[in-house]
Amino acid sequence: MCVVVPLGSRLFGPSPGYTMFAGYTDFRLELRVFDGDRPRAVSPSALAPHASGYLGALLTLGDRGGRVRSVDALRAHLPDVAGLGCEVLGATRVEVVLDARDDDGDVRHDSAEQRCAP
Amino acid sequence: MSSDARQLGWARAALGLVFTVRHTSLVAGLPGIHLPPQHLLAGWPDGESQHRFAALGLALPNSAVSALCVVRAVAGVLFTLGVAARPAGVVAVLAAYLVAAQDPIGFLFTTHILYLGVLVLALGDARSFFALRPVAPEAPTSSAWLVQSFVASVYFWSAIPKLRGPWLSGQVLRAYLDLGYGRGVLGSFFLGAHARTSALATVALELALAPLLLVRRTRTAGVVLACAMHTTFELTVRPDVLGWVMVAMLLAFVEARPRERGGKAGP
Repeated sequence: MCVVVPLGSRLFGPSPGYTMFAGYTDFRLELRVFDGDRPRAVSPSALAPHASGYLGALLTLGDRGGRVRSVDALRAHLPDVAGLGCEVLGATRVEVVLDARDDDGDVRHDSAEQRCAP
Repeated sequence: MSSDARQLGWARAALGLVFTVRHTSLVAGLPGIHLPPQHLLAGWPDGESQHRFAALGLALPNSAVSALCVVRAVAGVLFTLGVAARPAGVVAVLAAYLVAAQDPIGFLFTTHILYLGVLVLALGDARSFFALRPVAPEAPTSSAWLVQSFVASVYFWSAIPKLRGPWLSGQVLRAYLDLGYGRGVLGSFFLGAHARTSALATVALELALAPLLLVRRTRTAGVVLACAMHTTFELTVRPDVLGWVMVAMLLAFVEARPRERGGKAGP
């Protein structure tokens, strides 16, 4: 409890230990929706009313992005966000791109793609 | 009744109260609450039209999440009151983690520490004092040591992620001030103009608190310093219920003097 659990928190954050308030991340989320081969950009805020919890709040920030404590959990669920895009936006394919810059200045680029069921 | 059992009983009641309030809409009355509950019980499902992405494949139907919210609330109250405190605490924590798993993006280390604290107290001898249904203590001294070690470890492990340039330079605190976490003039003073000093002082205090709290001779000084630190946090930033959680667990360090019996000594 005193050693294993905080070491295990490396799974949820940038370092072992209890990371509340120890850092921040600037992020920007992009949603690319494909109807056929042609992509069009859609604001992630379009998905916000369909998502519950904190995900809804992050999507509301939309493509403007914002500054939050961490986007590690959001990063892990990018395929789910793309899947939500399929369901809500009625496209053939949805791509989600997450650009994040942490307080060290490290930039990370992640993306997920989901082919939508016809 | 041993002093250890008294300390643990107080800590159980106080932390149980924080646990119970944190998961109801009552908590919205406190400043700085992360994702204040939109319903009477925190984590209550919004409706079928809203999608949840659960952690570890633990997605549950809305009816099950609602039931878990109720179980968490009832078990939390029983734990606080000291009625079947051990099973109640374990059930409350399990239910709380399952509800939290429905919104992993909103995961918060403060509530994680709250749940671990309840678990440590539930598994120990925190149910024999200040309880409606007290149970005879089994190993109060080792239970108190476990709780105290856990609290000391929280301070130590909170300092580790802060041993980085962005924190030590005050950059992170200034960013939180920009995000609206600073409270009033004191918030601007500590997170703005004196962010670097505040950041260094916080890390130094957190690292010092672990040994101060674990060594018996310095324990009182450790408790006073920790309470002063949390009071400063409450006055300057908005750290959810972190201060309440830690002060509740610090009760496990307050040594109770045995009450002297009244009346005169017999012949």
